[in-house]
Amino acid sequence: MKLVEMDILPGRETGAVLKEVKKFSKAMVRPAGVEMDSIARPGEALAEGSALWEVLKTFRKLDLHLMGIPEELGGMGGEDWMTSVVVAESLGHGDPGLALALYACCAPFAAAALSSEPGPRKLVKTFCKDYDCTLVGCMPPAGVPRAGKPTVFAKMDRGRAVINGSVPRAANAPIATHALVEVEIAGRNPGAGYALVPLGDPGVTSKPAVEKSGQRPLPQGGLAFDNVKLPKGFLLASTAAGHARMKRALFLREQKLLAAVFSGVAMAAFEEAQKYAAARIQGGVPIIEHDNIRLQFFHMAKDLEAARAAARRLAQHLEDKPDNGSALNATGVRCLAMETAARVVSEAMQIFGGYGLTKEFPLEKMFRDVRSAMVEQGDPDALALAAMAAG
Amino acid sequence: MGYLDLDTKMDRKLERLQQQAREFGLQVVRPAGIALDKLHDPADVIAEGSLLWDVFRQFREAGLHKTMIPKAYGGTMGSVSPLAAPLVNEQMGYADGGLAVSLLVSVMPFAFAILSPHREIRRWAADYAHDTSGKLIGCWAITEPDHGTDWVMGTCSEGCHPSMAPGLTAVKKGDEYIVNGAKSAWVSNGTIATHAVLHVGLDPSKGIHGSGLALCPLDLPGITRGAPLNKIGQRALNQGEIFFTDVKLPKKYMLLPSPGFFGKNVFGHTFLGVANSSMGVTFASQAQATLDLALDYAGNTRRNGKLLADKKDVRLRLFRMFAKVEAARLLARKVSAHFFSLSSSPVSPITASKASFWAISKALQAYFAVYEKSGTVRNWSRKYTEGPEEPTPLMEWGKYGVVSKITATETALHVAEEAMKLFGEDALSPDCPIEKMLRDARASTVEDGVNDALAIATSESL
Repeated sequence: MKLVEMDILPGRETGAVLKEVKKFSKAMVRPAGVEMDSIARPGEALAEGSALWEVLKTFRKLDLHLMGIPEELGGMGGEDWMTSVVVAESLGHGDPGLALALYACCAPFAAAALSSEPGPRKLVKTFCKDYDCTLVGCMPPAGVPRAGKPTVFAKMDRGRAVINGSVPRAANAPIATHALVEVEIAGRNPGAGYALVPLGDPGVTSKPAVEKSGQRPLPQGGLAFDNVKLPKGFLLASTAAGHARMKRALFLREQKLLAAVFSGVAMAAFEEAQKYAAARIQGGVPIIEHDNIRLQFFHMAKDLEAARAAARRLAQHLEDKPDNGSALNATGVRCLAMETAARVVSEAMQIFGGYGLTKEFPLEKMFRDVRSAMVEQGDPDALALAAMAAG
Repeated sequence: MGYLDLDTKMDRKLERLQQQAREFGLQVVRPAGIALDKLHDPADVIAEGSLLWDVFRQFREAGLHKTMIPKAYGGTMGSVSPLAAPLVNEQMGYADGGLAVSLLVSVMPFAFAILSPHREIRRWAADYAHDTSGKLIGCWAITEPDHGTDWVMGTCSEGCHPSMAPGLTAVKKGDEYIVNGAKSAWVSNGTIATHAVLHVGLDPSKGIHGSGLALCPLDLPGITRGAPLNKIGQRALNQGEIFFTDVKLPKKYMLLPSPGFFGKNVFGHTFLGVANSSMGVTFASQAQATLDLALDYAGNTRRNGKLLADKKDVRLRLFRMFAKVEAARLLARKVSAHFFSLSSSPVSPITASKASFWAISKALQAYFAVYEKSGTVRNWSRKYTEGPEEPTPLMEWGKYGVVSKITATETALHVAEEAMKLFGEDALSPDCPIEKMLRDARASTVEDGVNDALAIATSESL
């Protein structure tokens, strides 16, 4: 019983990168996630020298933070869809909370790379060379295009943007140096855009890391802005067309990422259950030999392969036609992946019996991670309705 | 929202009991469950001064523990309607699934004690009925680290497989049994119990069918406990291993000394059925509690200017939840009440007198003596191939207990998942018990037997 890679694998060069990522995910991300999950107070997991920082730094050592950043700024150029999906799957396989933390860590800088202003471009160049993690990005969940309103406001003051407002929950907020937040722009030319906010500004208040049940390794917290004056050029995508494009790009990217990350979680649960079922003896034989258990595995495999395939299809589509992705397609793929992950993890847990409920085995954490993600990243039905409204 | 009590057998007295249990549940049990769930280290749940002890003490002070002890021993069984026990259990489940299990399983060795031929052991039942301090705590020590589902499958024909033989063995030596082995980390009340219903292996060649049943005080030399289990849900419920090293168990404590009682027969089936039917009541009620919170939330929460209860998708979801909850609740109560009526109402003259328990226990011992001598046990496995055993009412009943448990726990899990979707991020706020209910329900489909294994084992009696 083995799941094979059904897609044509990328060339030798990317293949080597993926091998490194898988190793990193297995040897470092998974154990770091388990360790951070077990720490009682969330703040302690974020201290200097903790497993979190080791993960963030190793990710950069592997140059994975350069994906999607143009070469002239020090990045690797465009990412191919297969690499981005397999990297996300692999990190999700290790720990979904940390996978999302790593994404949020880079996303604001990748967005800044799209600017033509010297300020943000210089920041991106520094980020590409920043192997000590002195620059850490932070992101609230990307909203569905044309749904919901920003909770942060910008007004222009002598060519510089001043922002006020708050976001209730953003990934990496307690450890980040820069946040990318959507803002509503008031004044003579009202509109919307994205503020790249340096969080060292005295007008920024970061609320402490929140206590949660699942995805505990993902540091989250609230941010409040009180008359924060942005450096020149740090208000990104402030034209109507630019804002719409960035909003859609961020949203679609997030759907693609979540679909791949949670496919990875489903794979991890499947594999753990496989190992357990081969070793656990009840009724005198390994439980994998009981037909009812085999049937459970078959349906898990069937469902998770469908979710993986859909995630890859979405990624490929977004690469081929970056301006063409619809919220409906992307949300569908992401919901399929999350619902599949929730079901597969729950089934795998049932196979583990009582052991699945304990901290000794990884299943109970996977269950908490998936269920929390479904709420934190938006519940499937609310997303579905928002996607239907957005078209 | 209003529920109709579709049970026409309810009377004033029962309504008062239900109300008393409900108030105790909501005022004491639910807040304690929420607070205990948040403790990072499960050892703190059972530490001195923990809220757990208040719950135990106040439950006993209120006399709510007496419904499963016969009148003759100071309980209320036989003097009140057989609905009394399910009604109290319902309210505990409504308050907190994990604590409900803890309070419920606590009665087990004391309720079984009345079947002992020894007066001093039968007295345990009275001691428990009169215990207002909560110092007597029982547990059901059945599963073992290497044998979990094996014990469930032990109630059907394949349970005679020697590879399934219990890891914990009792070897007779003069007037005592020497007990060695371990019971698993999933023994509820395992690290705090004072008494256990203990399943022991007597004849390994017969697998689970070669086991006997002891009533074991847990202060005997050689008995030690593991650390409290750290688990995903029902964190207020203490669970943990019990280890036996050369424990000398006087033979008076061996209630059923003949291997073969826990096989495909009335005892095995009834055992599972009784435990499962109580689980059914507990988690059908937890599902109802989840639904009530969801209804309250939908009626008081606006999103994008619209009341949730006015949205069609929300209304559909809530009604579907209601339909499942009511089906599970009615089934669970019916099954549980039926068991209590089998065991108390028709024989209420028996439950009133201690002498009758003496007679029952003597008859039981005699039955087992004959049973063993007849050679039935030795031919046990061959017998299965010849067709099913003559069913008894209790054996027939066992599968209903399993149906109740499967339906209720799967409903509790489903309804909690649905409620999570409704509450969204609000489910994660520290004062909201929805996410905890999800974790509690998640444990319930495994607890007391993995649902699929229970179904397969019990399918033999269809």
